[in-house]
Amino acid sequence: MTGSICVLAEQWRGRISEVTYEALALGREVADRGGVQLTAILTGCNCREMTRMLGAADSVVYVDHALLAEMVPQTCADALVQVFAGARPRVLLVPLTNISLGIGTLVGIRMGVPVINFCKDVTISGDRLEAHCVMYGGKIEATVEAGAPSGPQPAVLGLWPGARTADKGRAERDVPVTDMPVVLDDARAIRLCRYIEPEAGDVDLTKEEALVAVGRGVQDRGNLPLVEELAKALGGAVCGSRPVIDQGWLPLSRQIGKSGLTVKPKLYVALGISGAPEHVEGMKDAGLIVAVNSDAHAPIFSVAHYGIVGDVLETLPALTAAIEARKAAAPHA
Amino acid sequence: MPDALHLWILTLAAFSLFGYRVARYIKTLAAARAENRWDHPGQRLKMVLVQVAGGRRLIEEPLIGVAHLVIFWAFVFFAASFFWDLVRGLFPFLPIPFADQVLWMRVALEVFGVLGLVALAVAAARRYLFPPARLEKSTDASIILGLIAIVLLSSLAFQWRGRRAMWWVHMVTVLGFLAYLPYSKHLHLLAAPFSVFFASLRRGSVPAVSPGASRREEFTWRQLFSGLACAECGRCDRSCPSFQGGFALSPKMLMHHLKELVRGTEDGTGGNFVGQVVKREEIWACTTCLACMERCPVMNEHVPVLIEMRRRLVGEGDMDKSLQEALKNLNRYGNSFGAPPRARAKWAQQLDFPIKDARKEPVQYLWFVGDYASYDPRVNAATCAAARVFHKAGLDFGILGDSEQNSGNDVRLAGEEGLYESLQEKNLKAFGRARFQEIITTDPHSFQVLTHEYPATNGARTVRHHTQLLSDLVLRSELPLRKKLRMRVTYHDPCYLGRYNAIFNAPRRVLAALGLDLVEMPRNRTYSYCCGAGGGRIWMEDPPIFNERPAVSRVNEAAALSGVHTLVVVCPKDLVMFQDATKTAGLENRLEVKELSELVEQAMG
Repeated sequence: MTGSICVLAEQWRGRISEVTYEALALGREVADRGGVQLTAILTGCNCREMTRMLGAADSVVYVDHALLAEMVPQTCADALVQVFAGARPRVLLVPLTNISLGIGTLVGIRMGVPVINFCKDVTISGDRLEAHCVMYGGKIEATVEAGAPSGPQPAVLGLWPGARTADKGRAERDVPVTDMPVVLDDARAIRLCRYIEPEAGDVDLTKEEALVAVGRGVQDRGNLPLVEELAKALGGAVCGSRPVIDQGWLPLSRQIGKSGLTVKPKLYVALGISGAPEHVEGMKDAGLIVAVNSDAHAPIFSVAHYGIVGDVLETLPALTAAIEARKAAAPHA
Repeated sequence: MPDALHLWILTLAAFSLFGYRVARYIKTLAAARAENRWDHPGQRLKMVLVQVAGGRRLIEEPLIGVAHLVIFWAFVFFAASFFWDLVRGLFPFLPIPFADQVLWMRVALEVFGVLGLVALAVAAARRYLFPPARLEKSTDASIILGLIAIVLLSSLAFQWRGRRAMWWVHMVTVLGFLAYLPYSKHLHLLAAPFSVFFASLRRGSVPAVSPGASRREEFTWRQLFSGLACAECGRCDRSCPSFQGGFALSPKMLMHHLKELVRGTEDGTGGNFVGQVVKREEIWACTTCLACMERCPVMNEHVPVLIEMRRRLVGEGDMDKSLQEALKNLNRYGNSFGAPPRARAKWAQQLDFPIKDARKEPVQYLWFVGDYASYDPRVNAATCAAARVFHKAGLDFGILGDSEQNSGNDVRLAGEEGLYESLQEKNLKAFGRARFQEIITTDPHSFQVLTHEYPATNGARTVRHHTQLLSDLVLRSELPLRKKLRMRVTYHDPCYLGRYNAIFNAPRRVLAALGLDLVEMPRNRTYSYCCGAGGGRIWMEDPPIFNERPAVSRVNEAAALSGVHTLVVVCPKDLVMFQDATKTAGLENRLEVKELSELVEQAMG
């Protein structure tokens, strides 16, 4: 492992995370440029078969231990320090996610080597290592140099997600695997008790391609089924502006605008929405905005690509019927 | 003379306790930030006469107000008689009679003794049988009511039955009262005259530049003194739109916390005062509408205290995300919308006549349009209506175009002093480049800050709200009105025009001139109920838990008036808030929100 480029593989509940492939892609580039080996390190419990997924590396070090089933920073760092005992890798690349963020820093401190986080790129020339990092959430880029006059020194680099495309580091094959035994104490400061899955109850409006939004122009709660029919015809979901939510016609999770969600669907149909700036803020970047409002001066028309001046309740069924008819005429469209 | 000796011992004991406590309060206040409140002593004395001797604000709540005033005057006579008797008792050789041996004093004591007891019965009945909202039944209050009753009864008993023992009961009770007073909320009966005397002479003036306050010594002495003067009567809570709407703020509790801060019972000097004792949500919930200060009988200063604490939170970057966004936009673009400055005068393109650029040609009136009137599409119609009204009235007016910036009023009240200064500087520079006689504005918030907080350049600069200008035109018969509108409307007094600047009649005069039948809402003039937008609230999110937005409460109040279908406003933020509230309350078809200029234009035909 000495002199090689190492990548810590991040596994979570039986899967290698995407950012691991990004790290492998960057590691591959750096290793090829320097003519050195790329080693992936996988920690886990009874998951040797996952090493197949790390085919972008020249070899894999597999660390198996019951306490490594989940990636808890202290335990994982303990294992890595033992893995590196005696070896001097050139670089350890650690993906920067909520899971791995703490690992790299701990390893750096325990080994007494530099830690550079939020790296987008790495260049190594001789004894010098230059990392290109982003700071302040991507507003500033900094070049950080790590190296020592006395010879190459390993450095822990935290990888900024998105630095490379994951596909470049994805390769499935049988890789030479070295098993590395470790001794770990069960002195975990963090214990994972249970997983809380996000509620799958309501639709995620930000992922819908078509949204039909209602405002007070719909006049009555009883008219909402008409709106839902249109949404169904378009294959989208129903959402609303604040007054509609305040009236309790739709749940808070359906509110679009400043105090609700910001959405960018391909199609946004605004029904009876006047277009208060607070609402427009949440939908102005939609691909195509169609507005229906009885007031020709309603500000919604200044952001809409297409507009219908008319009563929503009259327009709505006609619109739904027209779309259904068009779909029936061209079933594969 | 054993009597005199006993009295000496008791007197010294009571006065030492009293003096010790009061001296500690004075020491704390002396260590606080300085603030000059000695100017215009005559005007200040007059306030004391009106508010303390006359109980002007007390009797706004008539029953308890009058009862309180009677108790107050009974107290004045009994205190006079007490000190008279005390001097006579301590120095028995003095050739003067006891107080009750003088006929007029005896009559006064008897009259006020009886009246005082009746008033006490009223107060007790109210407190224990019909307590109003925000009145807590504390032991403290019960002790004081009891003590006053004993003082009055013992004095009457002594006068009517002539029992020496009663004289002693009376004197001992009063001395006990004196010793207890500084520990009780009834400290207000000593502190109130001072708090009124040292009250701010300019309603709603923003506290002097400071990095904000959290610790005791970081507040000004008058701000801390508010805590000591507070009688916890709850008038502030009953008038506060945030409190009434179920938001986190209680102005009364704020005063209570200040009192505890002065007493040193809440974390010594208040390292955790902002954030822990007074919660962030409370500090940000204030709309700076000034209702609490308008009602407070001891003229306490709730809003400046909140502004000091906001400054502290702003310094720590501890604020709502959307407020942060607004302040960022104001810093970068000079408006809270994050819209380009060049789009500021875009609304004027809807007009069929050009508006003069005051930077390029001299005008009589420089129109300071303000952010909402310029950028918010919901306000544009009203802004254009105002422009057409000015045009048809033949006024020579112009605007500053993209040189105008947000006036900074609400930025300052949100605690961002630095940003306010930069906005003010840019506006002053723009004023310097323009040639004009007078500034007019359609925005009460800008009116407030331009009138009172901006330094007057080029000598004295006049600033008028457009309702004042229109009212003057009406008085001079220079407003070309063609027809009477003949409908019933109601009118909302904006905080910054009404409570802040006491402009109540000008807009009403214009409404009358239009032939409109004005029906007042129950809460009008100084009682006007804030729309909830002021002090930067319009840029903040509402908290997850509250009962009713102030604006919704207000439109419901307007809609409840029979035959009224129009709510007239004269503030761009009111237009936005109330239009939104009519939708939320489902009143769109019942109530229309109109800017005064739109109605004037209608009447011009």
